[in-house]
Amino acid sequence: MVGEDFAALLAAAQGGSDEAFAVLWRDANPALLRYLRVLAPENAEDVAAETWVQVVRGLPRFTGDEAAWRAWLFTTARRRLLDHARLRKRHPAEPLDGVSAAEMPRTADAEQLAMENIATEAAMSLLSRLPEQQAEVIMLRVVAGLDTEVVADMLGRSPGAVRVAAHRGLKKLATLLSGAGVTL
Amino acid sequence: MPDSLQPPNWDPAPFDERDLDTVLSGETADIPDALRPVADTLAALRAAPTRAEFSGEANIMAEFRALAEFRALGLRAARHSADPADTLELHALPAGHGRRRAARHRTRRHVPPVSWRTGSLMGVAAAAVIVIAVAFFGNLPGPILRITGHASTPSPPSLQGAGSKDSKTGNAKPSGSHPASAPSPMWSPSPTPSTSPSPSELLCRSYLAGLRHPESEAEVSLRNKLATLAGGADPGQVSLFCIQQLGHGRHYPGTDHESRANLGQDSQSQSGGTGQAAQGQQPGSGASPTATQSGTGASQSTQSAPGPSQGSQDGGPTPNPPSPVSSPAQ
Repeated sequence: MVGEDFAALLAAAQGGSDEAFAVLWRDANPALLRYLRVLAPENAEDVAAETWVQVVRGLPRFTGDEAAWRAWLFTTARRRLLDHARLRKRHPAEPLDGVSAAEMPRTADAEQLAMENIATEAAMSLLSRLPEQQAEVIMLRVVAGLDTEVVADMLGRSPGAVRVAAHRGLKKLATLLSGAGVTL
Repeated sequence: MPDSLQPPNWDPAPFDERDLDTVLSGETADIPDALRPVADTLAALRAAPTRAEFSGEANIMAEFRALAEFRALGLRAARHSADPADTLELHALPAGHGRRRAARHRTRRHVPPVSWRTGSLMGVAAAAVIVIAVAFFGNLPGPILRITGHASTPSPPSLQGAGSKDSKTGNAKPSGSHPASAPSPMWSPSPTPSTSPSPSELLCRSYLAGLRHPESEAEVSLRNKLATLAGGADPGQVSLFCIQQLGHGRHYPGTDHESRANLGQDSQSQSGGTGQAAQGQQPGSGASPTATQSGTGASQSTQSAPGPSQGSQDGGPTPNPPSPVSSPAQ
């Protein structure tokens, strides 16, 4: 979270300062990517990029505090995610089963990256095993840092329903952790 | 009792909803042990970002810079279009001034200053056309006659007879006679118009027709006679007199019948051409410019003609100039 400097950073970014916008982006993009990787692991980066492009275009018209900023960002990401889901239904992607592992693209420090975020990757893989709605509520509450009311507004549900979904998801996660003996 | 009816193992829940809310909020203290792995999992979700999560920064920053430049260009274009060199700069006025200025501006726009000039010019041109038409044709145009309420139906009595009758009553008849109260048998004051030209009309026609040669002897003589009738040698007064005579004199012929008689008598005795015109010729022939220009006898017969002044003294509708006792030109 940016904190007290958010208003100044937002004003500077709206005025065209790329440094200010870079601060905002670095603060929010990791959470956005994690949220998207839980809900759409295959095309999280694409959806994130489209989300930021849309945010950049609408940045001069945005007004609000940091909570509103994050709510706007994740609402935009959720809509782009729904668009991708609809597109996937119309044009399903071909699987890469026929491609050998040696032919798969890889970066030079893939192993190092994997070692850095293994705990986070393991946590996201666990969350992705939850029902989608419960996983989304937990990610929005925990990763995006949004209140129950804001999440309820985003999802079009009541705050009580959001709270119930979060509690059920946490219970399910606890069951998964206890049964699988997963340690993070 | 079968064992299936035994209640299951009702272990108390290891955590409640408050514990779940605590885990969701990120606090790890005072949470049940059953929720500890869940708390660790959520903490891993909140972990510091990895380098992979910043990999797309270059792309999105390039997009941001491109859009920022585009907006800056748009702003510059908007500022350029609003450049004071291209735009009239209106200074702010105190409240109330703007509304008043706008109203004045609208009034100015709706009433351009050209319109009254054009109207004046058109009025002058129309008056000139009327004067010329009267001068050349001896009659007012039909629309003007209709406007003034005067019909142009000719029912003329014989001017020759009238002239002889009036010559009998006396050429030296004072101007105080009252034809309306004692009309002559030939000239009734009926509103029926007469087309016979009066002597003053003939004089005026001759005068106006000769305006092309204003310095000719005949024209000077005519002007002098008309100046006597009009009560002044001013050309404007003479012209006004002629306009009145040519426009209204024939509709109340009794007002100037004596001048007609005088003119008719003199014309008959002195000049054949003008005498023919005075002897009751129709306006179309007797008032022709060539006929009036050729004859000068008519100009010699109206030196003591009191004619037009009688109309005004009789209370006729046409205000005529005062009757001169003698011609100032002679």
